[in-house]
Amino acid sequence: MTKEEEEITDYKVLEEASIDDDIYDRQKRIPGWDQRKVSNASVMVIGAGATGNELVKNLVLTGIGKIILIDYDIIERSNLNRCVLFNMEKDIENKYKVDVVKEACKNLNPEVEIVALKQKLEEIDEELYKQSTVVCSCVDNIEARIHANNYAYYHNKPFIDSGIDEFFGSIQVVYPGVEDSACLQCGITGTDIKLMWKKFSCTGQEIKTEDGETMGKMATIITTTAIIGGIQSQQALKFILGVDYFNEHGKWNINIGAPLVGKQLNYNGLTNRFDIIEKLMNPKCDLCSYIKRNKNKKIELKKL
Amino acid sequence: MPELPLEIWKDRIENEVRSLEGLHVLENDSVIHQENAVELIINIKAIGFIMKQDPDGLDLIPQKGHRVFLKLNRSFPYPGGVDFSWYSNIFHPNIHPVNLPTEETGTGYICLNVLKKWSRLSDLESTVKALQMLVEHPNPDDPLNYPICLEATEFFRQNTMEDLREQYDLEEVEAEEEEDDDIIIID
Repeated sequence: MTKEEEEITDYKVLEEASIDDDIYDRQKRIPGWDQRKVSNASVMVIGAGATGNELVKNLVLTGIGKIILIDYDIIERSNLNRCVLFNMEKDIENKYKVDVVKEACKNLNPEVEIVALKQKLEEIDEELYKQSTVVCSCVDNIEARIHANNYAYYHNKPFIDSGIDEFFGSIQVVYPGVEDSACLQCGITGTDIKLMWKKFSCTGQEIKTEDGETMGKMATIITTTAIIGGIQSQQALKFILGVDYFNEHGKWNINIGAPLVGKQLNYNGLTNRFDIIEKLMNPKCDLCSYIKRNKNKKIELKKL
Repeated sequence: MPELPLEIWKDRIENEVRSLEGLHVLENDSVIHQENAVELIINIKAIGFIMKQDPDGLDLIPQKGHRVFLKLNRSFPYPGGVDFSWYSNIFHPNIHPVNLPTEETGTGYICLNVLKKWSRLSDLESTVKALQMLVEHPNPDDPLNYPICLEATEFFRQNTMEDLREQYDLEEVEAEEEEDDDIIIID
């Protein structure tokens, strides 16, 4: 019997009494599942919009230990068609998204701790990245994506980015632990830079108009966000359950499978297709190259 | 705007300053390190024109050296990460220098469209090249809206850079400056 086969036949012994009483009984039956890991995990969720709602809902019901939820926005009526945790009761408008999600999660699963932060991503304490097991971004702009990618990568944390647009969605996973895998910054394109530049006038002064804020509204629908949020939470769980094993053995636990590290999954709702693209690492990327250089330095120092 | 983690940002800035030193465009002792920003002054070597206050009309003198103040903030190398300010006097449709010979108050603004098109992520070496290009190739189609810039717009619409090369013996100016460079190297 090979070692891998052994892992597959690694049966679980569950207490008979728990079959109907234990909330997490059915998921514990999954080979390789470790509920302790899940309830000790802390996930940073950036953005409490449509995808953020789906993601938090899934993680809360799975019994995650702690969710650090970051969003400084308030709820508008136009958010209500696609956010599972914002109910359509009166007076929900003008409340902070994170507060409403936190309140809703109390009903879903009171065991889960939700830390609600009404801050801009650039202003949050760097310590929070260190505390997180996984960092997930569910944001609608390239700036926040890149920022989250940079800090998660720097602190050696798995980072799962999601994006949606009408019937299309995409997920990209970044983990510096996998050698030569791309980060978000590696794949930054001229179009991304152009989008970022849009916020500046000809002279480089920042443009602050109401118009600029309402320009970027996208068409979104809850079916796509549910699909993408679902995949994103699955990826997060894969890291929570399997990253220790990977760091120890250099390969992913066969029962948990490998997350999409260095790859981008694209969902096309029109053609009903999922495509996975391998992202190439950019040797000139500020993040990767810096971290590689420092690694080499450390290795050289060890040799001395 | 996104930011790089502080340690990586510092490393990146260090590399940038080193590359400017390599290009011999960094003004001596001009680099000032602040907590979350770095200020420096670069010397752009490209032939432009400066305007002298003359009651009889427009009096232009070709000039090869230009001083530009740069402040790199935490957003560097992302858009908005560099604040530019054009210090020395220049007669140009896309540049509104701080020091003006007229009574107009200078802003130091540079029309950055040329810089936006230049690079994927703004590194300073390509920024310097873009600024050199901007001096030598004024773009009258996209002027800044200040009296002196509009005046320069009119001027550069009527006179192409090629005409001016002959009219002002610009090749001679270039040659002169090169001799100066030689002396510096001997020193």
